[in-house]
Amino acid sequence: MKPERWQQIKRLYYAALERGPEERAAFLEESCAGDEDLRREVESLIATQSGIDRFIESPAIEVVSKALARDQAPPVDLVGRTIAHYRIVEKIGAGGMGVVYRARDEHLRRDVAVKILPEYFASDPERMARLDREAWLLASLNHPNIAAIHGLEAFDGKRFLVMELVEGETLA
Amino acid sequence: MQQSHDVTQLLQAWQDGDPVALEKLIPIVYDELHRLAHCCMMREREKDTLQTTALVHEAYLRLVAAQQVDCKNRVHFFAISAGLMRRILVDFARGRTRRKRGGEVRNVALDESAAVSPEPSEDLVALDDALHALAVIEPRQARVIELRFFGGMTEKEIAELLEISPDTVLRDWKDAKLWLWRELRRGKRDETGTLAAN
Repeated sequence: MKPERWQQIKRLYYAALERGPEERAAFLEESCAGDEDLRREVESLIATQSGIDRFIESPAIEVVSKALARDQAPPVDLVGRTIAHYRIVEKIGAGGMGVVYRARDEHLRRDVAVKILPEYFASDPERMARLDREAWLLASLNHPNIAAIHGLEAFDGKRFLVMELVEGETLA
Repeated sequence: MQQSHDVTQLLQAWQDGDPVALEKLIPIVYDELHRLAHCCMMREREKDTLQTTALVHEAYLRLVAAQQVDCKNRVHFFAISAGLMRRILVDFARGRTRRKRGGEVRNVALDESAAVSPEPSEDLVALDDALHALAVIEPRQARVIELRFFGGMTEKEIAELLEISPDTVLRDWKDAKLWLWRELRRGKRDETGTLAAN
């Protein structure tokens, strides 16, 4: 990319951010004057603005130490413990979005699936908001092939989803 | 302590324009920072913050005699340390990726959301490469990133070292962040493109 091109992208990015979100489209339409490539570049930066703001704001050593901590932290075994009124019975799966346990709901006296979200996930408000929306959506659905969601709860710094326990083979 | 005497003299000689002094200084400071960084990461990994500034400051106090502390010396020491910290941390990240190539461990993500969202999972090694590329076109911007992100220096210290205004430091920081972000995302897209083409 030519330096002049980058200057152009950068200038438009900053200028667009100074305008309200509702004015940006018209502003870019006019400023890019049919240069679709330029417009795409600027729009893609604006779309990831919150990422750019956070990007490398924590010192490098902190980034490395946190990665190290994740590598080395022994997986916390929650089996046998009680979180809120859910007694964790056994681990039934794990993935990027957390660990799923079979648990006993001591209030309603039924077995449920509890998905405990990773800590870094729970501490990110943006991601939690997205999860809230997904939970609301799931809660509004009622279909035999979709595990029903009973709740999205917080307890002792942990965030977890309580779901219908579906017996059978894992899909993973 | 013989060593602290050496380091102070070397710092002085380097500032007076003796390039050999820097060559002698680097291995001493590197060893000290390397030791402190590893020790620090092992000890403090459970806590949430780790101050590069505190670490470099500790190295400074150990290596430079306290009675000879001089403000200018200190800023120059931090400046050398930033480059060395970059090397130490990038090497560390590279080694970690190599060690864990089984796949269970992710790269050192600069933005945690990368782990579950389609955003790029930039890692320190990729950032280091992009920073080399930036240094070719905007050397001062690249230096500002190095001093702040790797070296833990404040805007004011960077301004003093580079003899520019704090506003310029801040503008360089923002511009460089934007450039690096785009560059790293572009890298990710290319990677995906190659995979798809195969």
